[in-house]
Amino acid sequence: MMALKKSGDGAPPDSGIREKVSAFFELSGDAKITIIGNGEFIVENYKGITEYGSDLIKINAGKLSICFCGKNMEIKTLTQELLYVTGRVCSVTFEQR
Amino acid sequence: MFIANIINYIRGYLIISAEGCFLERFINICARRGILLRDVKRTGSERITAKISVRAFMRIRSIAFKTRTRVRVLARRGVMFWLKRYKSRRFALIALIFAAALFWYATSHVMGIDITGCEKTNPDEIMSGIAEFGVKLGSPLSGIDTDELRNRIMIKYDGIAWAGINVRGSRVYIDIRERLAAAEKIDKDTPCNIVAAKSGEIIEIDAREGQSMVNIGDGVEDGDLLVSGVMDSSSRGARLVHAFGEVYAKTQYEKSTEVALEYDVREDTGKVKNRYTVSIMGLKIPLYISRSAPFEYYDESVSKNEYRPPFEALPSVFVTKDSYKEQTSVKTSRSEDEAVDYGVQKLRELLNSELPEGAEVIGTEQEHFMLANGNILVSVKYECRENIAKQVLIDKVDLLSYDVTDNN
Repeated sequence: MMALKKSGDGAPPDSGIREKVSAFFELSGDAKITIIGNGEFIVENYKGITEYGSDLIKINAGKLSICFCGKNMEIKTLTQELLYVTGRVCSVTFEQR
Repeated sequence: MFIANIINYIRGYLIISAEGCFLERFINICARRGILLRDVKRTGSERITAKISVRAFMRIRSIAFKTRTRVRVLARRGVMFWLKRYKSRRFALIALIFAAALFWYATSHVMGIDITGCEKTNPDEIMSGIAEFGVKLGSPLSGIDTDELRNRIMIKYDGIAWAGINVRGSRVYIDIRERLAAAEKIDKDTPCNIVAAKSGEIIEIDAREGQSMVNIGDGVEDGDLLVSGVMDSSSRGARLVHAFGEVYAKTQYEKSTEVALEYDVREDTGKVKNRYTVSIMGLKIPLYISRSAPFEYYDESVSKNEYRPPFEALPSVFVTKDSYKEQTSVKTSRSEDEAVDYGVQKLRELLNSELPEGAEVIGTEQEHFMLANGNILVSVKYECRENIAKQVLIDKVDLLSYDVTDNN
């Protein structure tokens, strides 16, 4: 039987002290994605847009590259912290950079 | 989002198109520099459209240069641009504001009052009456309580049995139902007398209840007792009854008039002058300058037309037309017979219009004689047969001399 090791709040069990501290203070560098149905999604804490089209939006989210495939996608709001997109989302793909 | 859109519309924004090979880079730099782009749409392989604020647009020049993107303004939207457009057209703007104010006033204030169903009551009297309750041309519609107004009208005017108040658009419609005058009738169980309603000579008595106090051929004055409601007999004693029946009398109606042998006849010359007055919301605007009569002799006729705009919120425009027909005065003379015929005809028409209902003309008399001033005095007398019976309650003073029992 495997014993469970208690780690910092929200941090993976095998993460280092840096990740544990950032997780404790909720300072994670990962992007936060909110998908509402398949009609809209919000990406917070992203780095930039690498590809933009009505069928495909590729977002640089630091360690990951997130690819949204869909139809008639349109950026409703774009700020440094937040990206709000509407349209019909078919799939979301994560790629390790 | 909706509120944000309204704020953006008030502040004004631009719809831009950006063309270039590095559009993603252009978007990223804009985001990094705090330039808010909204509704970014891909409209071509190397083209996007977006909405941007006017202030932010000034800051994208360097980004466009850096990313080799060609930015063009497609449209300007918002209140700011709209106002700018009218900046050079101040009078148009003033007219627009005035029209908006007029529209507000016309839709929130009373623009017309229509009173229908008035036969005996004067509509102007009701109009001034409701003005006391705060309902008049120009008063706010929000202050009208139709139920309260209806109650007040019915309390103030005794002759009104029912009033319907409707407010449609900016117009107040008042529908009046007048009270029908109930005939003064004495209940058949109540003892009463019959008296003469008019002076005359009795020609027929048909007393179905009560004791007749007059005989055929008697002359009676207005108010004389004809049939008594107090029946006094030696066998049953005095008792009170409801006297009823008909008493026909010969009555007379006479009229006289003075007819001149020489008189003026007015003849139209054919010249007509019209004067128009426009009135709106009680404000009268005469469309003429001279206020004196246009001719020495004239016949004046007034006609008033109401012009209602198709939109109920707007007030009616009344156009009053005063028509003056020029006339000349021609001296004419007539013979004595012509003067008498004229006088008799005029008097007959007058008497016929004044005769009471049910009066039957049984004889006519006419006479004329010359006056000192040269005029003819014509008189016409009608002799009629009519029912002069009028029921009245028995005066208690009359009963003092009787020891009566009330049979009813």
